[in-house]
Amino acid sequence: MPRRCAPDKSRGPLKNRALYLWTALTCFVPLSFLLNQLVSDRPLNSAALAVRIATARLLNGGSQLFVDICDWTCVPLLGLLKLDLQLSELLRGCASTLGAMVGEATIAPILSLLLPDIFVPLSIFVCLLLSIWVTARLALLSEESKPALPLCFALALTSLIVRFNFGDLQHILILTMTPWLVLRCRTWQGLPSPLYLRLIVGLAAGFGACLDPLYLVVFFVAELAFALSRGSVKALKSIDSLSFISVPLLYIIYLLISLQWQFLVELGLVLRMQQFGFTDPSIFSPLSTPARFDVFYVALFNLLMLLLLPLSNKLVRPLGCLLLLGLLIFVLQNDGRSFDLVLVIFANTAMLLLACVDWFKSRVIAGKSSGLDFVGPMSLLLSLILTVLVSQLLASDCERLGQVRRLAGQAQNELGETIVLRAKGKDLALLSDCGEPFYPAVLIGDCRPVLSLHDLQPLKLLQPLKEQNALSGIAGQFYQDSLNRIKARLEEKSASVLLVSHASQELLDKLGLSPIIARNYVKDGTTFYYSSDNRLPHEYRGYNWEYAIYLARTDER
Amino acid sequence: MSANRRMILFCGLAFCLLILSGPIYFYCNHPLLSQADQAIYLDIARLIGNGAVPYQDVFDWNPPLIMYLCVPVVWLARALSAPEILVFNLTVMLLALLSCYFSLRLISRHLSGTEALCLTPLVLAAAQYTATRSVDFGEREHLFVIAYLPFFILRYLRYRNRSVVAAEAFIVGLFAAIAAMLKPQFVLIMAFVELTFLLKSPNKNYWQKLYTFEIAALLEVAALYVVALMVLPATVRNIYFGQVLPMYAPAYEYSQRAFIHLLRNDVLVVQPVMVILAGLILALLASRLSVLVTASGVISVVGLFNYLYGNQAWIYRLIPAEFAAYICAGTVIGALLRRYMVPLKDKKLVTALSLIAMGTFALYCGSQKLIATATDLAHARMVDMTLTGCQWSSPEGDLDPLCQSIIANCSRSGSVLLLGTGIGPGYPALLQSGRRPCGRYLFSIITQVDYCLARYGGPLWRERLTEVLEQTCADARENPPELIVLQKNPIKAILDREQVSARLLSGYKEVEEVAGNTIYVKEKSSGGLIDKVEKRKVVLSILSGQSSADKQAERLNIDVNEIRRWVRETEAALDAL
Repeated sequence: MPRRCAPDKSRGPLKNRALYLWTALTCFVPLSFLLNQLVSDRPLNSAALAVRIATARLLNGGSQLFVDICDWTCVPLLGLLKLDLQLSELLRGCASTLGAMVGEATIAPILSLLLPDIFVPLSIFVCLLLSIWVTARLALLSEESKPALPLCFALALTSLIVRFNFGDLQHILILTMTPWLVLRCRTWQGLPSPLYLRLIVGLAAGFGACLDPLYLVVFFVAELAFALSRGSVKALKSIDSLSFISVPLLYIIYLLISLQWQFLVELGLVLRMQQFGFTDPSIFSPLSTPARFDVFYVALFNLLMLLLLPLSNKLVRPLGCLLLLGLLIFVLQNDGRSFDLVLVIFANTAMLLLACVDWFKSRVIAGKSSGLDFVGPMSLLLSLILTVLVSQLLASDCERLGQVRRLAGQAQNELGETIVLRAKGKDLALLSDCGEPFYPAVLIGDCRPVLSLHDLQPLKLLQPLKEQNALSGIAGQFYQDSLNRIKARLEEKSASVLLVSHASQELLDKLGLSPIIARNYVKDGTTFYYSSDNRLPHEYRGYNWEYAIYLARTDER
Repeated sequence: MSANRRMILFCGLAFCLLILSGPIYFYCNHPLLSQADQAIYLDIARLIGNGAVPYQDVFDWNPPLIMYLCVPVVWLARALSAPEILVFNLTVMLLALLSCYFSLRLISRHLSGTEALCLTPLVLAAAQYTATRSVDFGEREHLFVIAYLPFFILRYLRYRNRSVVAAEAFIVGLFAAIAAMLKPQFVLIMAFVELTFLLKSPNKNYWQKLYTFEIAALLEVAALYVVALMVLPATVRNIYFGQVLPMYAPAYEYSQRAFIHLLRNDVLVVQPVMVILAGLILALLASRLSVLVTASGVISVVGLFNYLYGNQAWIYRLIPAEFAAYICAGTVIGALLRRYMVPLKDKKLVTALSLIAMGTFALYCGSQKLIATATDLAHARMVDMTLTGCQWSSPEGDLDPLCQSIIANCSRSGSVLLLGTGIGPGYPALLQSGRRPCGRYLFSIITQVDYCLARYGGPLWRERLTEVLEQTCADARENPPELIVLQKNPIKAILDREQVSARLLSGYKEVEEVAGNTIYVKEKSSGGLIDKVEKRKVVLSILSGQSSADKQAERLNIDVNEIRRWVRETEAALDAL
């Protein structure tokens, strides 16, 4: 058990304050770049997050989960997103009132920040700041945990690196996990931490573990790494563990007493197994999924470094395990896109930084009392260099995409812009295997998705079972209900604009949707989802690049 | 060697034999079970045994060592009148047993009884790895890990400052060196393991341990191999270094798939990937237990790098990394055992219990495979292979879908032209059927070269494509195959586009389609296309008694009565003279 919280005599307040300052400055550089990007380049914000925002919006509008809209995001996250959107509504109301007094033009920039597709990423950005602050606070509690301080910068830098996946599940996982790692490192070392931090960090980590069943394993293996390095299991019995485990337990109880557990557990499991076992011929050709060799090569380099070099930092080994688990999750998800690699990218960045600090400490400032004087400026310089480098790489990714669009000579015919131009404020139906290309344009265009599914992926996964007559129970019911609902909406012409992925045509034929579309909608051109060699910011799976635009047929009577 | 250590050696070897007994029984009852790569190297070895020169007479992408290593297997098969595939599989088993023997001998001779006992699970894990191989059994990567195991243990002994008899070290070094020369990436694995021992050694002068007999053997073999490549006949050297190697990287791009395909959900891929990742987690968590755990983790990392860098979803490239995960697990079990044994004063009971546990494991693994094999055989439909010249029967499931078609449509002395996208389709069917390949290209490289032409353009690739097509046509003209196996997609389209189909397929009729391949059989001709010189040769050979009309008819694929008519006419003309 950890000792009781006692003042650490080795901790000089001035030195700590200086370290706080330097850490804040070091993190400020990537964070400022990130904030600028999130606000100024809305169309490039995470599509997966935008899908969840759209769900939360519909739920706020009175729709029911798994009745009107299906989304397998964990319920607590959807709940938080709903609250966040309500807050944005409230603030927009206040701002409008204020605008009436001081003038619309004055208040316009504030109103633009309160739009859902900006406000939610900004809220997550605030969580990021909090996470960094708590990590720094925990690290600076005593001399033994100070080596964990680079994690703050690692988190900030990773958030910038994964800017196009900012707010995705794995990104939220690392926000909750970073302070947890430092806290657990302290607990395993027998160092005391303030009770309120242990509770808050534990609850947040528990929330992170609920995001996906596989994330629970991530936390478990991190604990195992700590336990094996200490050679005991004593620290498992602690307040932080209790607060951590209480969240998944409460979530399980909630699921059991609500009706949603069947959908989330049974159907979720069937879909997950199908996703894992699904052989998709469309991913056979090169570049039909992103080629993230870069992440894997750095991961392998880090593993070699960890195995070969005598790194003293106690966090490196758990981070190595996280890295391997991240790779395992990537394999199990069987999707191939970058949002499944955020954990690996974080572990990569953190391990490299910790190794740099280790080397710097042992080689450069070993035995020098004045060593600490230039640690701050050096880390700031490193932060500047890395931030500029990452920003340049992000900019080059965007530039490459722009080039593709220019070369196509049809920039006006891009999917996102088509949605904003032609479906702004309208009811919109989307039929595609992959829903992400439509987002965040659907939010930017303030469109209302009218189908119960954001994309046809669940039906595509269940279709082989249907063909083999092996679809029964909840999954069979879900398949039939969803299909009936989609057919009804198309028959009703609920959506004035319909976008259909060219790649999904075969599936639409199998589902019997093609004749309904032909009957109720009329084709009005084609639009494209441009991508530069399947790299971020526009990644795809298979061949999702051509989309047909349909308009609802007017009543001939 | 003390009695205790001798017992560990014998018990260890017996356990390995027990583990491998299941697969040995399996391969004895599956005499024709092989895969594409293994089969083609056996076929090339057969051709080399008949005087063919690699690259010049037989095209291949890879360095020649594996072809020559297969030659003794082919000779042995001929001497025993057994199928080459069976002899090859059993040779690999024998190598695995030898590898286990060398490893056990090293640890029992140079380590204490407790330490030897605790390293035995590592060797058993390695044996079990070989026992679990199925589709990639006998691949170059598999041969490498088999041969590398004793070397790995020997280097660990050096790390532990143990001195080893020079002859023993040299033999182990030689064994590993030959396998390491099969592919350059194997040397990278060995280098990183050395680096691990170097960095982890408490002895600052570990680098001096590089001046040893096993390293000398390694360097000598490498030098000899390089020299052998340099002194190849000029034509062969020019072909290999001037044509094959420059084509290798761009042509292999043809087989590249999406990134997720490298780690795809197919059980053949996902299972080794899971094992590797689990092994790496184990290596990270338990690296403090033994330097061998760290070293096996390093092999996994470098093996995984080799696989990703190769960027081909060919699962046999995962073998070194997966093998390392197995030996990592074995080492961790041994290290944990050691941890509990060291403080004990009376170790005999624990030793006995450990040996019983290992024996039970070995018995379980071996018997499982034996039972599974016997059960499968009881239900398997056996195919009589006498038509292939082989006096054995084989389970039908072992035969490539093309095999039966080749046997049905091609005579025993006939040859087959394979026009597919790679070694498979074609192999192992051709080897199983006992028929000869036609010409220089045992497998077609038309699609690869055509891909390069489309991707890179330029006169060089155009010239290459023309060259390959012309060579294929020339081979078919000079030594007409009885059968052409044409993979429908995409070869047929390329041949049509390049206007080669008519030339290649004239005189052939389509008989059936097998697994996406169209089978063309040569139509019996009346001999009208055979020129005067050839006719004269045929008649002279028959009149001089060197050959018979039947043989010549089979060779030229013409009606035997036609040849008899030529002979009669010639005899009549001679009589008139």
